[in-house]
Amino acid sequence: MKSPSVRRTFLFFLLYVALLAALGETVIPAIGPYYTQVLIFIGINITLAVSLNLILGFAGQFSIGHAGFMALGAYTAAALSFYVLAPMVAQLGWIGSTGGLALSLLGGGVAAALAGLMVGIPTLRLRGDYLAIATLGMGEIIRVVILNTDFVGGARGFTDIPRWTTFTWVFLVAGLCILVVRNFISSTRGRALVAVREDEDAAAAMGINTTRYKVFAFVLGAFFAGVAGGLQAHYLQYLHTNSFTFLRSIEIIVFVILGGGGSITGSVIAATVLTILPEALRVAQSWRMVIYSALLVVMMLTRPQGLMGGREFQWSWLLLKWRK
Amino acid sequence: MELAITEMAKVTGAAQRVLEFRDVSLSFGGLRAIQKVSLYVGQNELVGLIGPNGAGKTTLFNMATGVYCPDSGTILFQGHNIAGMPPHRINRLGIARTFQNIRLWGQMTVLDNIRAAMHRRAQTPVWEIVAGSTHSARTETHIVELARELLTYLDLTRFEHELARNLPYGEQRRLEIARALATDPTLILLDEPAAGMNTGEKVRLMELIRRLQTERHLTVLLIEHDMKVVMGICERVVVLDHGEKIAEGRPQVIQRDPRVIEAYLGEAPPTA
Repeated sequence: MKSPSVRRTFLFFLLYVALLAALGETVIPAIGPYYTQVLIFIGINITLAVSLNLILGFAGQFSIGHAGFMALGAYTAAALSFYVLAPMVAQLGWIGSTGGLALSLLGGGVAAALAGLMVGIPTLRLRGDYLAIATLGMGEIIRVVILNTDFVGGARGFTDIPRWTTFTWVFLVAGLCILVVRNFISSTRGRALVAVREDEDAAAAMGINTTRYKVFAFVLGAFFAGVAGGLQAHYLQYLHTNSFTFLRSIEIIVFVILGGGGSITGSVIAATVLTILPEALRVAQSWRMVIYSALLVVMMLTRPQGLMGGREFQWSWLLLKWRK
Repeated sequence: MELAITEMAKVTGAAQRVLEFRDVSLSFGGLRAIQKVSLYVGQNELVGLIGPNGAGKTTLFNMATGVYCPDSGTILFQGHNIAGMPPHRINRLGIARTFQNIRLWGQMTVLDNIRAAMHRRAQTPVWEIVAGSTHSARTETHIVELARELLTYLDLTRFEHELARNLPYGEQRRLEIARALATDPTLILLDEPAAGMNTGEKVRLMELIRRLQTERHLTVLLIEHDMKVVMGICERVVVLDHGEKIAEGRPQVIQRDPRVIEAYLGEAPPTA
């Protein structure tokens, strides 16, 4: 690591991964498969929520196509590992599955990012409602194309994907996504992106290339959605386009809006709570989704600006509380 | 003697022209908003653009900043034709503006409004920002320092962490100027900077605009309805009415020009 030094971030992240690995070895086997699955879905949803928050909350672009990017990432990653990587790494044990997962996730992320770039350049010139409709269409096109591609299972679904996703991997990706979005957003360039959300014409008058910033946010968000899709594929070992309808996109939008657009902390909390809630409500049986929806309505009525209302968690809050 | 010559040059327009409109016209559908307007702003000059409501003053600003593209004519900035260029590129060449109806980035803090406008100084590659490299951190610290300097210059330091939309009106107008300065312009276009200000604020504003001209060597073109402000600071005044230039000259002369009086007050009643 020569200058520019990233040693501090690197060490911090290494520590985080070590902690995750330790938890994966000790806590995860102890809590059993059901709770592990809930945790993994939490991690995937955090990644989806934070990456969409970059597009929706920070860049202010209303995109209803996040599930489309997720689908593209999931299927690309799955196809990569099923056809190419799994036969190659079969003899290599855990090193093989780790390397295989890393490569397939990267492939899924890049595929989604490329799609984001191709879709973003023409559509991000649109504003508001038009953009929402264009991205909705884009998400559906991706889904229908996959549904008609026999190579990845088509309407039968894609089966026998290797089970490579672990707790450690899911939270490594979630942590990376949070770190990347946080560092970008708090930088001067990140502030310029938020300026585009606040007033696009004023931003352009201050020399900000608004289309470029919007496309960048869109591509980065799509990348992490693709990676999250890849994680889901290698956990469930089965993919069907029904999991990536626009309802899935809406679910991610709900995470972002409920947590508060423009707050990473809010997205993390909302994704966590809203993943646990339907599980916790299983006792209510058939009333489960009714209660879930009613709770969403109540939360939106009481805190329309979202849980965090655009603010972030800061360590100084804890210190203040503690001193008092 | 030399001073007198530059003074003369300014008045005659022989000094280097920073911004020049040449026969610029623009129509919105059937409405001819601007008709064959030619005007210029010389190096380090402070020019006022006045005229009744709907005369086309802001439309001229919008053409000079790339919001509208003129139907015909050229707009030269330091010799380059900028007509029809996208706004962000025009700003990068050195034209900054403020808006008549304040358009700050309301949900961002005062400091962040300035930082975002300084984005061109943050040429760090994105991967370095994202990885939190020391180089990127140094750049950020430097930008924050510059932003604070600018806030001190405009006496806005105490609002640093306030959201822009929570600022008092006069301060919001000053922040708009600060934000425009943050893009490091050579020419600044001020669209009714004194609107809604009280007398004390107006005096401070006039002083500020003069300081921009003398201390920061900026060229200033301003739209203003307040005649005290216009007459107090402008070296030259251009008058628009119904999309046409009707007069141009020293403020004292313009004040007595019958065409200008007519444009503002209507035709004089026939004397019986």
